[in-house]
Amino acid sequence: MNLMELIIPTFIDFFEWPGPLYLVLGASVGMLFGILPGLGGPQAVVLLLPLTFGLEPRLAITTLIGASGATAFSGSVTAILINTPGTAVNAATCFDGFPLARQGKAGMALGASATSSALGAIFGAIILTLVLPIGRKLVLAFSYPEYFMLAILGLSIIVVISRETLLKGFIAAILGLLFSSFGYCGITGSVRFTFGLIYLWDGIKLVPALIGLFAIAEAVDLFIGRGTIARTERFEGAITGVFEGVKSVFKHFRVFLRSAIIGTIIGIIPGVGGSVSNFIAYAHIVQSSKDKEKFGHGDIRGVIAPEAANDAKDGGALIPTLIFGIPGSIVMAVLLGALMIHGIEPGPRMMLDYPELILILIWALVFSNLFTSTVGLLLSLQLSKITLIPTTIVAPVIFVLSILGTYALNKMFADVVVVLIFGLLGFAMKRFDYPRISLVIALVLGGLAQKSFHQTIMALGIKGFIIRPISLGLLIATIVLLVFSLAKSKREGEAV
Amino acid sequence: MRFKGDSVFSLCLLLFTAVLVFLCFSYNPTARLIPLVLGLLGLLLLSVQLLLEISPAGSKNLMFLKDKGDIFSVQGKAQFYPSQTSTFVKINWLQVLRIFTWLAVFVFFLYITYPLVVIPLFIFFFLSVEGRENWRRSLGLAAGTGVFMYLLFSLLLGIF
Repeated sequence: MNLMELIIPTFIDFFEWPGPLYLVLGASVGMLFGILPGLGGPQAVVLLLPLTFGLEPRLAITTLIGASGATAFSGSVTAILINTPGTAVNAATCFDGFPLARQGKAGMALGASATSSALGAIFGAIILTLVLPIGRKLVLAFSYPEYFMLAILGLSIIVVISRETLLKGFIAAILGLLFSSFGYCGITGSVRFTFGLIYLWDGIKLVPALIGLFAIAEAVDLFIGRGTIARTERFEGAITGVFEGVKSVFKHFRVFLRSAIIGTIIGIIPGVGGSVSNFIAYAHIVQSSKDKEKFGHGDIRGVIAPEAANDAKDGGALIPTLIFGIPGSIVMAVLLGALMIHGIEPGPRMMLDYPELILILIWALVFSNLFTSTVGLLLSLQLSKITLIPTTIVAPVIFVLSILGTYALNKMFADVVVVLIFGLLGFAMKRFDYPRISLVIALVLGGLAQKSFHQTIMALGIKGFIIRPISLGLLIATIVLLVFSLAKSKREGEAV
Repeated sequence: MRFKGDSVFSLCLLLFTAVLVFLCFSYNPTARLIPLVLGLLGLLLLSVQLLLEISPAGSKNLMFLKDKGDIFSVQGKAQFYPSQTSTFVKINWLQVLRIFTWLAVFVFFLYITYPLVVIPLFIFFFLSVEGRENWRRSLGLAAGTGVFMYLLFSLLLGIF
């Protein structure tokens, strides 16, 4: 069935009980994590992942996307009210959101943020839905060499992600690739790096590794930091003028549209992500305005632009994830991990075999944003108080949830040991600025790269990588990406 | 030459990679091909990283590989995250090891006893001893977490 023909049936499926309940549960957890600075989408999704194991894939995806989609807007609540962005994607919202709150226009800023977030997510989802059928046709031409080159292209994105810590980015990626070599190899029939442990025959499982790297490592960091999560002043004003904020998005619709386009395009580029999109959208709007001096002092356009961009980028980020199986961000890597534990192999075949699931995912993204924008707006003042909870109280709860959640996956204590080992590794990586996302991308793509490499060699020989046009094209794209990124990095290094 | 926390971590990674490279030679040529290439590359890069960390003067030609900070980098983000103090606060590694010991003990008792007993006990002792919270707050959170975990993992998910 055509992808477009499935839109209405999947919409009905999405609202089939208990789908909406899981969306609300996921979005509520996402809102909570979005509001807490230091925690965000990756932690929310990672902690929810083991709990979704027993659910059918449709409900699991709804819960996880619900959580992921909810973090962006909720992070703007604290950015506006107490000048502390809940997540990195809301950092630019502080520039004008907080001055607006100080002028007694917090409601207006929140109204504008909620509306531009919800509309931005819808914009991104529309673009994603339009692009998917094109990608579906493209992946039909894929075989082993293309899968291998795709994995290599995905790995080369690490260079873009790690531009500030290039060498450490490469090291983290190599570690991830080595971890992906652990266990039984179906192609060569050998067992590698098991250290005599039967548990390691299955390799390093993605979910315990992710929980350790992100949930445990962040919780330890929070606990060591002490104090309250947000060490800023408490918001004492009233929230009025919300509708004025909603209207302002339509008044400045061109600002919204341009920012949403920027967000979607940046989302498509794997590895760049939301923390960049909100700054670029903000900078673009400032640069293209005639009255630049108003920005930074409480201009509503300075709230609309970053919020539209950071919610539109989710739809864009799902394009490489769903079409090619390349996770460009931690959340997308976790999402692919969730699909794997439900028996769905991430990669190009996913779009051909499970189109209904992909459309449900898009619906979940849209409705999670609508839910968060509405509820977040109504409860914004109460939600901002969550940031005053001492970190010493939040951290042990995350520890317990992470450990029990991991155990719940397979009822294996060895999984919990992996969580602790990767927790320590993740904490050290965070402290010494080794990008953990590079390790995760390599861990996710490593298996596909190794398997398709051996399959290509066996079926076509080494020439198999260059005699097929798509494979050759992907190889050239990888080389171009690497050369440009390395040259830029070297130039910047010389300039320092 | 100076050996700090970051160089100790790089050295640990170097040794771990060296062990993996050594183990590669016990596999058949096809099975070891990719891990061996990756391992050797890893050894090379980790050696360069270690050189950059312990001997900045001797690594001038490799300056373009050194960490840089701008608004999108780890350092840049830290200004928006008062709680994410990784780039500014010196770490007490003894405390980190203590936290992981607490977690290891928690996992051990989970293994030998019943989770719903261990969870409140862990929260209570962890908060009052490691977190230095007053006992009333610790007890309240321990009870609350115990009930929440019972509802989630026992009643809803049927795990315990």
